[in-house]
Amino acid sequence: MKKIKLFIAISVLLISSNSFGQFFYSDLTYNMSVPVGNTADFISKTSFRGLTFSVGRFITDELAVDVRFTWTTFYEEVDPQTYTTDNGNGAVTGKQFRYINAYPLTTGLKYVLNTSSEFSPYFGAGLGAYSINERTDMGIYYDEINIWHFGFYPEIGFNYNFSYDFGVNLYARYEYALAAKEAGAFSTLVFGVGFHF
Amino acid sequence: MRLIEHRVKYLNYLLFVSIPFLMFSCYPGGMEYYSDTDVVITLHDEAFDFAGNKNYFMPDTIRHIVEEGEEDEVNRIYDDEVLARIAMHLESAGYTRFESDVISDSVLVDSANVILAVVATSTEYSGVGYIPGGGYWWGWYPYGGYGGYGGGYSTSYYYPYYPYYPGYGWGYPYYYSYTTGTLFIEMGYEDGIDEVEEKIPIPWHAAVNGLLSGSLSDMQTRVDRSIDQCFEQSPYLFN
Repeated sequence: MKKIKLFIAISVLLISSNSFGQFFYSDLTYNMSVPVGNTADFISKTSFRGLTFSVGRFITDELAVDVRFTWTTFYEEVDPQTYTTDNGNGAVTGKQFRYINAYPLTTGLKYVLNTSSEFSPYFGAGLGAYSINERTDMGIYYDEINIWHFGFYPEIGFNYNFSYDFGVNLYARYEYALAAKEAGAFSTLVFGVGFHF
Repeated sequence: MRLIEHRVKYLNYLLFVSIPFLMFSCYPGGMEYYSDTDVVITLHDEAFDFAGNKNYFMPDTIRHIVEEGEEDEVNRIYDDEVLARIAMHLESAGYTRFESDVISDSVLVDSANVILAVVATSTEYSGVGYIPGGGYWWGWYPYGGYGGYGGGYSTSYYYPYYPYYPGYGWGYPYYYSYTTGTLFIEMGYEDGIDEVEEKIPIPWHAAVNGLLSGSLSDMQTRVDRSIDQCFEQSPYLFN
């Protein structure tokens, strides 16, 4: 929670700075995410619920550093099935409602080409802490794992600038968080579109 | 031009403030219908000889557990159907029911290998449970309830021992916080009663959650389907 508060405080500071300096920028995008690997084993449906907010600053003409917060919710209903316990003496049948709420809090670098033109492609990468909540509801029961993971991402995309401080941002990103404690690895392909300002 | 720049700056703040609203407004739903809450759980003792203990006694009423001072919220109109359906499945599994209008129930109980007790309850649950876990399962679970000898429950004297769940082991923790009804079907091994410890082994245990809530129109279907499922996922009863 302290980390989130700190992140919000820094974001507000940077977004305020964005109004006064040309080296700062922000991105707010809508995300759709395709689960892969372990994540797809748990929930196979594509998520259409998510967003990314980032604030960054150019440290050279082409290289920028940013911090970002992402939120993605995966959800799937699984028709009634019978699940047996590991020791074989129990069986449970019911409909499951599965959720993943992922909140990556990352920092990264971005290499931007053609920074002074309308079309500015870029590639970047980052790493940070991923808060991932996996929950399964089944009748009156629920099972929940809420753990911080270490994760990273590579990303490619572009900005199309309508003015020097406003444009659109499109990208594709692969997110991967390592397994932690009883929680498995988390991986997803993220496609985003939104505002660059 | 200045006006556009001014608006763009305030758009930044507007977008930032809108984030929490976006997050909460598109959060996915969950259970919509009572039938979504239906869960059937069965547990059994793998060491028990189900094939060799096919004679059973089952009371002709369902015991409704009602907390002191509370009213029974579970409708009794399905009781006969529930008992009849259990009996039908047991018959197809090769079990013989001991029942008589002449011989007393206590004699029938002594003669049978196993006793089927059917219990219904409607309670607000909240806390941590264990599956499987038998006696640790519910906070209210009547450790001494079967030994209550009356207490307003007409069937309790058939079952005057603490339930004992051999071989169920320690289970996984699950969390629950809903109000629902639950139907328990428990097979007590009459021939295995420990008179000293006053324990009766429970080689088979079935619980149906969510069954006792919802509209009457589809309740019968859900009752039948859930009881059928109890037996479908317990193939060892058919040995």
